[in-house]
Amino acid sequence: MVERETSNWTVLIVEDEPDNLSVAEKVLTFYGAEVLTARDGMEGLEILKKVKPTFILMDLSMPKMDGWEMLKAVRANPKTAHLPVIALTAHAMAGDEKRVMEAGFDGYITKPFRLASFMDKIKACLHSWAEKTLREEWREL
Amino acid sequence: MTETKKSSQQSGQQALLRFLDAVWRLLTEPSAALQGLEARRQARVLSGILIPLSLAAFLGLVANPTTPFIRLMLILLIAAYGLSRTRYATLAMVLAIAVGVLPPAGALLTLEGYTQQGIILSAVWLLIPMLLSGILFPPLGTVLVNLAIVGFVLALPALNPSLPFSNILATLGFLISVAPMFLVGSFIRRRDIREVESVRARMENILNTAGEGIITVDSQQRITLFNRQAEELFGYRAEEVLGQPLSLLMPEQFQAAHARHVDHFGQEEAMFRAMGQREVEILGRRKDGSTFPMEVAISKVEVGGEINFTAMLHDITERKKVEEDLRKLSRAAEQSAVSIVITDTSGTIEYVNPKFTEVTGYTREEALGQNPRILKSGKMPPETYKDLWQTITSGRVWRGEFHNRKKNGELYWEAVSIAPVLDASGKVTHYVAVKEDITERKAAEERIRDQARRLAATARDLAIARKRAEEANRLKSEFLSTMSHELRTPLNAIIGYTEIMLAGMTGDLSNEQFDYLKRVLANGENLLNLINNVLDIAKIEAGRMELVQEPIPIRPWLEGVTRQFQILAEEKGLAFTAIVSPDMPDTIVGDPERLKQIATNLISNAVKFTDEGSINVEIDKLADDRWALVVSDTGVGIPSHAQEYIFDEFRQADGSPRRKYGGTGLGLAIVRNLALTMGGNVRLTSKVGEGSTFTVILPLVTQDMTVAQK
Repeated sequence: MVERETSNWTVLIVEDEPDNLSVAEKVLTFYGAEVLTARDGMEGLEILKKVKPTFILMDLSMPKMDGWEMLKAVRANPKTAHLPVIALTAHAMAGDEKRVMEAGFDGYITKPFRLASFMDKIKACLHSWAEKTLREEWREL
Repeated sequence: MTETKKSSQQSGQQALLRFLDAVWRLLTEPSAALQGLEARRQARVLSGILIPLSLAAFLGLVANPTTPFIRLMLILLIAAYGLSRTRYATLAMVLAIAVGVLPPAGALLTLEGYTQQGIILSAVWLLIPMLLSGILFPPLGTVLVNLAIVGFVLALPALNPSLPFSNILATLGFLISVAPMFLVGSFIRRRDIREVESVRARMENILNTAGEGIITVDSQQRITLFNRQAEELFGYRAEEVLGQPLSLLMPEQFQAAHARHVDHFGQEEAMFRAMGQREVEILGRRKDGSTFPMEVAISKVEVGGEINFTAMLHDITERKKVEEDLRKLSRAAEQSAVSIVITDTSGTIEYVNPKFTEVTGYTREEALGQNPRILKSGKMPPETYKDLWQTITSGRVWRGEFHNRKKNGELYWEAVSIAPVLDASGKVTHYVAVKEDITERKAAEERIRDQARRLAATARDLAIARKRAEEANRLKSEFLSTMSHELRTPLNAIIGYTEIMLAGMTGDLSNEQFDYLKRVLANGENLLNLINNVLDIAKIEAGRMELVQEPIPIRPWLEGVTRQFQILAEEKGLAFTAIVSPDMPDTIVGDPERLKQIATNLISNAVKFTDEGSINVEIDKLADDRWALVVSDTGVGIPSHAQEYIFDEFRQADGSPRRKYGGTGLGLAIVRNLALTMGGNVRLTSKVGEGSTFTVILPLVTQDMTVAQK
C-alpha cells in the first residue's frame, strides 16, 4: 500500500480535535507519509519555523489561532508562502468551499472524509497546486 | 304785560264769539255750515247778514215805504242779497220776511217824526254791526267804532224827515256807519286772497319740491293738479294733462280695474286702514308708453260736495330692483347649505338662516336677540375670539375654525368666515357670519391622520419584524452551519476509524469484527445522509437555499449522476437505462449540484424499491421551454392514498417498506422543495406492484437565454 509518492511526503496536520487528528494521522502514516501534528495555528506556525512540510492539512475551527488566521500567517511568511495548504473541515454547507478557496487554500476536503477518496483528493489538490505554481513561475519568467 | 292784556282780550273775544256762535246756531239751525268755521269766516257771515239788515232799516226810515210795493221791493232786495250768498240763503229769507212782513217792524218803520223808540232802534240797528266789526277786528276796532258813532250822529236828523237835508244827512250817516262794513269786508277779502295766494304758492312750492309726484283728480277723474315731480315721472308737462282723464297715465290693462277701484274707493280705503296700509303699488304709463312701478297713496277730499282724489306717488323701480335683489339674496341665504348669521355691531343676532337652525338646534326665535356666544363650547382659546373681534371691528374679514356646542350639547366643528357690513360712510353696521359644518371633514382628517399614524407604526413594526426575521434567519443559518459542523466532526472520527480498521490498517479482523464494522460504517453513512438531508430541508425552508446558475453539459452530467446507480442496479440484477432526448440542447443552465440531488434521490429510491425489472432515467424536452427528468421503475409502487403525502417530510408509503428499505423519509420532500425552488414541480404516477414514475418538470434555461438576458 505504501506508494513512492506518499512516502516522500512530510505532512503537517493542524487539528484541535484529537480523534480527527488521529484518524488523519493514521491514514497518512499508513500510506507512508511522515506526519507532524499541531493542536492549533500557533503550534503549527512553531513547527513551520523548523520544518518545511510537503503540504499542510488544516482544520478551520480551532482555538487560539484558527485555520483562516494561520493561512494568512503562512502566506505572509515568504519562507512558507508557497506551501500547499489543504483545508480539512466539517464546514460542508453550500458556499463553504467557495469561501475556503477564495481565502487562498489550495484544496478543500470535507469531514467526514472517506478513505477511498481521501488520498485521491489530496493528490488532486497537490496537482492543481503544482500546475498553478508552475504557471506562476512561467509568468514570472 | 301786553301779552296778558292781549290774551284777556282774546279770551273776551272768544267768549263773545261763542255767544254769537250759539245765537247763529239757533238762527241757522239745522244748517251746520258755521260749525267749525274760523272766526274770520264767521265775521264774514255776520257782515253778510247784518249789512242787508242795516240796508233794510235805512231804506225803511228814509223811503218811508208805506206802500206794499216798496215793502215788496225791500223784501226782494234782501232776498236777492241773501241769495247771492248762496250758503246763507235760508237765513236771508227769514230776515227778509222778518223785516218786510212782521207788523211790529213795519209799524216801527212807518212812524212819522222822531220817537224815542225809533231813535234807539235805529241806533241799535246801526251800532250793532259797528261794534261787532270793532270787536271782531281789533286792529280796526277803534276806528270802526268811532266811524259808527259819527255815522249815527249824522244819521240822527234823518230820523226826522221834516228837518232840512234830512235825507242827505241820513244817507251820509248811513254811509259813514256802514262803510266800515264794506271796508272790513274788502280788507278781509284781500287778506284772504293774499293768504290764499301765499298758501297756494307755498303749496305749489311744497308740491313741486315734494319728493313725490302729486296728482289730483276731480270727481270726473280729470286731472286737476300735476306737480313737477309727476311731470318728471310721466314725461308729460302739466299743461298736457290738466283736464285730461286720469286713464291717460295708466297702462290699458289696468284702466278697467282702476275704474272699479274708484267706485269702491270708500270700502277699499276702509279695508286698507283695517290692514294698516293705505298705499298701493300699481303700474304707471309714461308719455312714451313705457310703464314703471309706482307706489300710490290716495286720499279722498270732498270740496263743495265734489269728491276729489289726491294721489301721492313715487317711482319704485329702483326700490323694486333692490327689493328683488334682496329677495334673491334672502332666498339664497334661506336656501344656503351653510349657516348664515347676521348680528348687529354689538353681536346681537338679527338673522339666522334655516341651515343654522338645522346645525345648531336653536330655532330662529331662540337665536334672535342672542349673542353667538351661546354656541361657545369653551374648547377654543380666548385668543381666537380676541383675534376675531380685532379683525372684524377693523373692517376686515376673519376666517377660522370654531369648535362649538350645539343646543343639545353635542360638539361640532365649523369653518367660519365673518365679514363686517359697511354702510355708505364706511361705518360697520352689521356682521355677517358664514359657517360651514366641518365636523365630518375634521373627523375624516383625524381618521386619515390616525390611519397614517397607524400605518407608520405598522411600517415600524414591520421593519422591526423584518429585522427580527432577518436576525432569526441569520441565527438559524448560523445554527444550521454549526449543527452541520458539530455533527460532521464526530462522524468523521466514527467513519474514519471504522474505515481504518476495515482497510486492515490495524491488522486482520475476524469475520464478525469485519461484519460489525461494516454495519457501523453503514449506519454512519445513513447518519451522514440524514444530517445532509435535514440540513437541506432546513435550508430550503429557511429560504437560505441559494441556487447557482451555471452551464451544465447535460449528457455528461447525467452520465456522471447515474454511474454509481448503474453499478448498484446491475448488482441487483436490474436493467438500467439513462437517455437524454435528442431534442435537448447540449448545455442547459442551472445548479448542477441541486439537480444532481434531485436525480440521485429519485434514482436511489428507484433502485432501493425495485427488486426486479428495470429502471429508466430519461431527460426530455417539453413544450413551452420546459424539460423533464423522468425516473421510472418496476418496483413496489405507491398506493394511491399515499401518493398525496409521499412528498411530505419523514413520510414513506407505509411503515413496513421503510423498515425494509431504510432511508430518511426526506428524499422526496427535498426533491419537491428543490423543484419548487427552481420554478418547477414534480409528478408521480404509480400503481402498487407495477412500479412508479416520477416526473420532475423544470423551466429550460439555455446559454442563449442567459446571454440574451445579459
